[in-house]
Amino acid sequence: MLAEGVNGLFGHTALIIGLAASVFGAGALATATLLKDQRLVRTVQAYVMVALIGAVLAVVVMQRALITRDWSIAYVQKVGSYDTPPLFNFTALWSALEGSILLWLLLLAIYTFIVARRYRDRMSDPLVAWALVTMLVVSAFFFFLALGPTDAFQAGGVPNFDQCCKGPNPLLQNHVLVLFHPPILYLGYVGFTVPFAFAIGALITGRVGEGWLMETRRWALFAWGFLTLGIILGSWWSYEVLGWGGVWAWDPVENASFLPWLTGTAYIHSVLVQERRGMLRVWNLSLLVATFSLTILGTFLTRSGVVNSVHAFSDGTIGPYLLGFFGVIVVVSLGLIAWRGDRLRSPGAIDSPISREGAFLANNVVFSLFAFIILLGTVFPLIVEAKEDRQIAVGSPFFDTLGQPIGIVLLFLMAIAPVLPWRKAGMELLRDRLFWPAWCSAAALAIAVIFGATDFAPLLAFTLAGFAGGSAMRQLVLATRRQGYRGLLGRANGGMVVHIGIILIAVGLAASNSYTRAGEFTMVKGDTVQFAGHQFELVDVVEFENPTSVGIKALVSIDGGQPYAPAISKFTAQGMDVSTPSVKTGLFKDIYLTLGNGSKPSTGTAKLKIFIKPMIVWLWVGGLLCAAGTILAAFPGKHRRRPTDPVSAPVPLDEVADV
Amino acid sequence: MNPDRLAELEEERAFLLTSIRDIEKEFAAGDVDEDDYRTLRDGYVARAAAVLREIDDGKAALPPKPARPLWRRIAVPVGTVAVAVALGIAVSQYAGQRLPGQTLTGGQPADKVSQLLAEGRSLLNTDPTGAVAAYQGVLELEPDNVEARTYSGWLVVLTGQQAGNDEQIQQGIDLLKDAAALDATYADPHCLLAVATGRFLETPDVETAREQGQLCLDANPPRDMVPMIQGLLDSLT
Repeated sequence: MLAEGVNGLFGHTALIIGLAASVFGAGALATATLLKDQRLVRTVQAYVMVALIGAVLAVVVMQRALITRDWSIAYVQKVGSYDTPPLFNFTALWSALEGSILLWLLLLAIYTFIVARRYRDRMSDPLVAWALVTMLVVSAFFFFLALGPTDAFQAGGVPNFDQCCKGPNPLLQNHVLVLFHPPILYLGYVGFTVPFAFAIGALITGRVGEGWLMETRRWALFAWGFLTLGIILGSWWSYEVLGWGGVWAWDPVENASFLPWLTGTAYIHSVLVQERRGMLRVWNLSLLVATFSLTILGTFLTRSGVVNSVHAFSDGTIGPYLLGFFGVIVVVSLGLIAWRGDRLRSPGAIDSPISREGAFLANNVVFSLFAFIILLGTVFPLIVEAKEDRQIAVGSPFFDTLGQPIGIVLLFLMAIAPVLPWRKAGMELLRDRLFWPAWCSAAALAIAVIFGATDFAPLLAFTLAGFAGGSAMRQLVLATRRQGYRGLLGRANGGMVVHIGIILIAVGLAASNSYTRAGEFTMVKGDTVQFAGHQFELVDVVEFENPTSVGIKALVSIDGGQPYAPAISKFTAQGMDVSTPSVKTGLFKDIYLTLGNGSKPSTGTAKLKIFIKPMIVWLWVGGLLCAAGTILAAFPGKHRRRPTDPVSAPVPLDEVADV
Repeated sequence: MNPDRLAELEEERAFLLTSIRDIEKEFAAGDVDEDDYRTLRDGYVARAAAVLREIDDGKAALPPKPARPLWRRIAVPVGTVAVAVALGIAVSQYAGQRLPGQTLTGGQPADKVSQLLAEGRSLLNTDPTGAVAAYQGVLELEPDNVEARTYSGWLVVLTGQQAGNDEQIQQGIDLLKDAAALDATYADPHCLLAVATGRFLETPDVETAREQGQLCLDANPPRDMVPMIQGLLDSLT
């Protein structure tokens, strides 16, 4: 083993300082809160700042080690190479287990710092104090991981360049999205620590009313927004890099990111019911606990080595720690909920199922059912393997078959919930408010049929998407007529923008899953084939070389236009072939080309696979709208005298006349 | 009165009074029709009056909420169990044997050839018979699949080497040469030819081993093959 280098020494020191600051900070704040010692309370800002400095320093040192190719560090040997381009050398930080924990740690320290600063004047409030204690305890756990089981600064042996130092996994140095997808996804995962911590604070202090919800509303919203965007970017990366023509494969690690998204989505809806009607308190706490614990379970699935996936990092010793932490979170949270059971009794009750709270409750049941289905499908093979030593897999049909009707029900709920009033809806009111959405659904069906859509399931999806889209647009039109541009702000209106984003994603998925056409062609230079109404000409098959890979690419002209270049690269260090698709993107369809093995520049032969994929770009636009809607939802809307004012009041006639 | 109970009653009072104010506004805004408005408002008023009386009387007992009907108390747990059982049956129906290289769940829809190649790769060092069967399966679908032809040949070489049968090794070498001819840019058959001719034959064919070893190195082989081939070439000089 090499002696510990400067980077290793600084890295370890930073992590030790961060761990100590987190542990002592949590201890000091808990003690100060119990003893009501204001002097001690004031010290916590310093602890949080030191923990942040520790995390930042650890990441900076690791980046320095990667940039300078400090081979004395085992992690640099694992993911570094002299040939890796600077961008992917930078992203190598999160391309394997140890570095990804450092990234997690950095984001958690930043969130903790922002919470401490934001509430610095209220640190003597026990609810805020216990929330910060919880965050520091979680930070301490991740500092411990980074120092022990996933030590990124562990000294490496003398590097044997035939075996080591090959750079990151080739799949992680093939597209710029690798720069954005993991950090944004982690911002979502880690962000849910804040509302979870406040929920724990509320349970410890017994202040389980609606106050803590108001405090954490935006935190939960931003965490959800980042998680949504992270998942969409992951799908985009999968589409652009993996070359199989799809965006979602129900891979266990994809499922692990989708699970907290489902429970988080249920939470940001049901929390409205608690704020407005004082109901669903236990349910909301349980959803928050589920969301946070599922992020830890997802981390366990991704990093423990129990699953084999394109996203999973190889096995380490981290699994038992994460599983143990997951167990502690669940037991402590459920214990606290049971302890505070008497105070969690809701003063209200649902007056009618046909009401907004009724629709939210239904939406929560459906989201929870969906989460349960995915959790069951994901852990079922692990359970069978543990009990019977049999290796089984649960294929995509399980998730597709059960997910499809759930998606349909959710689209229906998205259509009717925004027009429903709180408490109780009359039929006349529903008829009036659903008039335009119903016309939109009929128009969507007609357009789909005119464009040649067939089959019951996608047609139903398009019809309901039109219904839900009409409902969301109705709300936005009413709000903007009433309030101008401010009609796009606020939770209800920003939420409708998010709904439109989700509807675009649903339409994109329904269309691409139902109407994709694929064909395989072996072509020789100069050949032309007709497929799905397009002409494809193989212009040339050429070799190329860059510092990390060699490969061949086919130049294919589509309908006589500029050539597209699907390629196969062999990453020489890893000896791994990576197929890089080439995509002609359009508003209504993508033409997706991949090159198969057996293509030869010497003979000018290319084995070409062509996918015609409808409405894929709607997924990415939908994702961007979700992000934009989240930001709009976080801004305060029209200032009301009380937050309980009706949100769907009709437009006064004089205002309509003005418009 | 127990302070916790009092707090609970006061919270319920606040909730009910807020609800009464809200329902007035919602009725005025047209969200609730007149019949519903009267029913709901009367309900809130009655409950608020009961809570206020409880607080005034200092009684510990909370005013009763409307009891949930019996059918709902039974239907919810029964429904939950039924759904859980149905999902358990569904997941077991959709579960199947995990193939080599396949993920626990979902996964990209790999074609048959890719699955068989993955199976062949995973069995290469542990179950040569199974690997041969997998590669034969590939060759039935794609007779010119260079990977399947390479490793089918290599397995013949290994079998011959274990049995000390030079004739069989030569058969395997011929198969490797066929594979190399199919795709000169694919390094593996050249590397394996170098090893087979340079190491396994009773009388090593040094010239072929050198030539193929050099072709292997020129074709960017997997990095872990490089020291092996380099070592072989060094030993042949």
